[in-house]
Amino acid sequence: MGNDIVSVKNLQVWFPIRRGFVESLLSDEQSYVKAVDGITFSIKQREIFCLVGESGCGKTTTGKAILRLVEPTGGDVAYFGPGKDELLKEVTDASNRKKTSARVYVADQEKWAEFVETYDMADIKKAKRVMGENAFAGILKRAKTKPDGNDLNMAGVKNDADRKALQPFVGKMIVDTRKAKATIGEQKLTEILERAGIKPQADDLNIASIKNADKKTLRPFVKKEFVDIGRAKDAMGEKALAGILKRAKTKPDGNDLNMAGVKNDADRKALKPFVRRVKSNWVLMSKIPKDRKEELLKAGGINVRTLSKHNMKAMRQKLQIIFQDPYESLNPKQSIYDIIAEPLVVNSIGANEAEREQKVTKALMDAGLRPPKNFMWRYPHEVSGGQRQRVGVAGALVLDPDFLVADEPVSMLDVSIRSEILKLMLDLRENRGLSFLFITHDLGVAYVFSDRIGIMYLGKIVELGPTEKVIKDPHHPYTKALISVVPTPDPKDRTEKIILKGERPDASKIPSGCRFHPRCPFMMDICRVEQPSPVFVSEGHWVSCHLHTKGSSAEKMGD
Amino acid sequence: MTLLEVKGLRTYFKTQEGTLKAVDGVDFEVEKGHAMGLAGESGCGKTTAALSIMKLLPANGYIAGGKINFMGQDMARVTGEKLRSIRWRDISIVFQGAMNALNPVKRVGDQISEPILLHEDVDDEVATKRVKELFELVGLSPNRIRDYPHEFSGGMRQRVMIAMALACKPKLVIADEPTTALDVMIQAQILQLMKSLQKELELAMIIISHDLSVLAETCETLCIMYAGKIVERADSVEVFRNPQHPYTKGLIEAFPNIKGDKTMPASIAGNPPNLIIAPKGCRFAERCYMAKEICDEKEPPLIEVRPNHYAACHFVKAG
Repeated sequence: MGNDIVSVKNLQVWFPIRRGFVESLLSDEQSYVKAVDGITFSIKQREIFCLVGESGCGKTTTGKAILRLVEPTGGDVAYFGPGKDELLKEVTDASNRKKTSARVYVADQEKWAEFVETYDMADIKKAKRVMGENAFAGILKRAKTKPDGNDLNMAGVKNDADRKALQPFVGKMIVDTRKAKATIGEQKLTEILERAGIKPQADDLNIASIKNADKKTLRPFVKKEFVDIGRAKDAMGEKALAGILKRAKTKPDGNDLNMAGVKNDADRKALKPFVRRVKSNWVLMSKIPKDRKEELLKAGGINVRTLSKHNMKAMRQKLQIIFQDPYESLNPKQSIYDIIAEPLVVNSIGANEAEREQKVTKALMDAGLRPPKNFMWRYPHEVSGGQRQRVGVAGALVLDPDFLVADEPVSMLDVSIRSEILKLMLDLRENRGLSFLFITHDLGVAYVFSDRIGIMYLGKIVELGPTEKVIKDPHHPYTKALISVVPTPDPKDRTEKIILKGERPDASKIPSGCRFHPRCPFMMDICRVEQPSPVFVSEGHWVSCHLHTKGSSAEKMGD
Repeated sequence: MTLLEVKGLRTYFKTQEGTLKAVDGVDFEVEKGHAMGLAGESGCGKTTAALSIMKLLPANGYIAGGKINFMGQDMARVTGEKLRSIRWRDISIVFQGAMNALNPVKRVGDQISEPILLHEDVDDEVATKRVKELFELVGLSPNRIRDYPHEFSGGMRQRVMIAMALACKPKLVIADEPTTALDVMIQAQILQLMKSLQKELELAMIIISHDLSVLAETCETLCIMYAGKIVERADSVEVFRNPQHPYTKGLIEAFPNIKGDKTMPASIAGNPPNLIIAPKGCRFAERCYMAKEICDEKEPPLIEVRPNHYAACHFVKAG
């Protein structure tokens, strides 16, 4: 397996809830169904990544948002796959013509650190609390913008006394090695590094672990430092920290508003106390020195989210989707040939009908409908369910894509033909080098079919990891429950089921703290209040659950 | 005690191309308080067999032969008032696809009380009280009887369907694909509910599904159907421990086993035969990996392999 083909970062899809006239008079605030609320994952080339969850957890919305069949509200979707270079060139050329600078998506923030754009983000929660919901909503309205870790950026802490108090908890202190080199000389820096036994990352160096006088030498070159909030809280008490935070007018957890959208001067001023600077994955072409332009174009990806309509059409040839229900996703009044040839017509591919027919024939062959002549001129109702799903696959294949979103492709099919379709997709990966985002609610299918699994609950990924690890060693209570309810064919081989009470909550009224807490059998006090952040379990295996937050206040409260 | 005995049931449909033999000679029994599973691919006749019992066949379908003995009456011959008094009062059905089986413009409470008012000499008040009891029985809040179907989620609608089937305290409930459109978690909830209701009310049940693992978890006995015929019949543990028919073996192997190794399950290649011109010999021969000449010529009879374990294949030996 190679590099990433698709990288999804902090993706959000919110659907506004329609309000009546009276409601709009009563409150300025628009509420949303947060179908997908900040999920991050990447899919490698030739990988099958599986999203599992109940209906309504946002898995289909995620799949569609990657293809922009629904427009994402926030976050980035980057494509690094084949054919990216040409498209990227087209995008940059187009912006050159318009005399604007093109933006290129980079996955490695650190490497391009000096070039990535930064945004000012205002803390919405805090701002609302301090200035009142209505005043804040007013700003949002005027700004015509929409709201888009556990570290506190010290840059926000201006008060000297506060800085001193927080100093012991600084966990990450990044030194600009080039600056340091220029001032103290390369040799001295190398000596210091050898003593400390650390290596700089690109041009940055974390000196938090250096304890002796060397730290003093390097201190002037520190460009950013972060405070470990957890440790600070433990050591100085929550109240003292809160005081500092209050004076610093910044807050650790993110629910951010991009300040670029706020144009009103008075509003900017009002929001200023809540602003923090956030690094993006964007690089502006105009800022890059000439000699590194080639490198950037090679390493950078296309951000699917910001492509123009014209470029998106080209992009969709690379990204395709197989829809859920083969009984409803095929037009009953079109022959199979017409259904499969439609994308060719739309994209003006193939000079004449004969050429198109050739492409359709190949797609049908690849989808296992052989001989193609027997199927091409039939209508969807004339073929069986499994064959219909193959028609859906052929339709997705005809444009020769590199990435497929497969949305519950086997859920509507009989058990006896399910594995045929799954095997077909495995063959396509072998022969065409396809990568898949596979969406299903059936963990059994996900287990035998995928390389990695992400378990979704109410718009968030709660557990993510290699398939074997997630299934054989699940950490999140929701994953455990899902695995336990998969029916087993052998009546003697039964384990006790964890049947969760009730159904998933309404996505427009997301529970506070951990979203799963109202149904969780292991609910603790902290789960009601604080959202868990991802915790490392083993290589590539992450879980978001307070039960596994080591050394945190959660563990103590759980005891 | 045998509640329902089906013998040699044949249900045909008249179509433009000819007579379609959807169910062609099916035997099974359902004991009182037991659940029986009917498994098979779509189009194998399992739903038709169940609808024949209640005589709910579409206009072009008819029972061409056989006996359906339900508590001393032959349902194949019962008509008119007599049939109406048995339907829903003694035998009821949970229809396939809970999403679409409810009337969208009637309150769910009214839909459930309708059969009660029809079959029993009671007034509205008593019926409403019964509906509330039923709601509690299936785990729904009794306050919601005046809601419309669209106000319920998929799992809750399936619970409403079950409550409706239980309205007149039937002896036999037929559940047609009760969990097919539902999520795994809701599926587990519904199966748990059906199991507990079956025990509590001593219900006999016929559960129809293409998902063998669902049947394995709920049924005492299993019938595997293929192309209008039963190819294997035994109690469910026996079917999984000791499958005899190659089709049964194929179905069992088609399951991804989450507790086992990460291997791709096998599939059964090919499609079921056209039932208008059914093959002369074994109907599964075309897709069978064991098929020999005899399979194309002679139809295998359903023989008793072990006590109470029947299979229809030329290569199983009576024991």
